[in-house]
Amino acid sequence: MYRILLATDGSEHAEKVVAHALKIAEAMKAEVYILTVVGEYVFSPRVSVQFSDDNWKLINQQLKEEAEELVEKAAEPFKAKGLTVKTEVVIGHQSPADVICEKGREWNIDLVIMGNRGLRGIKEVFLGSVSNKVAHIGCTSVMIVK
Amino acid sequence: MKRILVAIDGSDHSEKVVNEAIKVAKGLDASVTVLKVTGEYDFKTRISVHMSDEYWEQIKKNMKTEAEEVVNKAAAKIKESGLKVDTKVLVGKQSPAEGICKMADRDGYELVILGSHKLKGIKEAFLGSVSNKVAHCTKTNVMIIK
Repeated sequence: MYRILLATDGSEHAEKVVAHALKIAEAMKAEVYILTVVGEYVFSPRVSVQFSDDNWKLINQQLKEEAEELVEKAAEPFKAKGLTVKTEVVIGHQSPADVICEKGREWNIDLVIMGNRGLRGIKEVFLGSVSNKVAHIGCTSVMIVK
Repeated sequence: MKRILVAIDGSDHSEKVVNEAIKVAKGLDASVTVLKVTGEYDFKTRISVHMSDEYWEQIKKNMKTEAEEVVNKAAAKIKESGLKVDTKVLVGKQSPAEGICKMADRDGYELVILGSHKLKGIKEAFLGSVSNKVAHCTKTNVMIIK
């Protein structure tokens, strides 16, 4: 069974990524894993105030709920085509690229599909996008949707 | 994604790239062009002696012939699987990434499939891999086969 990991972040571009992933998934009759990675890394470039532990917990909870909605929404078109879909949200300190590689190994993924730009705007310009990093790490085959 | 450009270099890994490309192209019912970029770029990384023009011309001719053998062999395999296929060899001063991106964008391919090569250490730091460069320089979707 061919396994695809769709890494999504809910950005505008993500819709296009889902559309392409759907084509590939149908073509390969693949099992689809949809992953989004959220956590403190999302926040750090935007705010620089100190949060209390309680506030961090609240923030993480909020992020988790949003991310769960996001992956469920992304899963809909795949389910509509009768494909098997598993969704997962990872919260934490790790970089998305590392999580994608780790999950790719865990799930025995044949192909990771992701966009070349996302929500993080300027940070990507400086640090390189998540897709670049995954391609650079070379942990799995990658399709980058432009 | 009905037109796929498969870029190979004739290394052992190219075989896997071609096999994966066949799977994807079959699923998408796409036509395939097999491309190899060769030329001075290939050569200059290997030697740095000065050569006469005549000698250069002969070398380029040989490189073209070798490249044609590589793409024809891959094309035969793709054709065997029932897909529509053609071939292209680019000989010139351009780097492989430049050649791949130019052709993909100019001729309106919807997906580029190529392999990732793990260069080691300093060479990677300075040159970057062809697959990373292509992921940057083309406007189209890129599938990097590990």
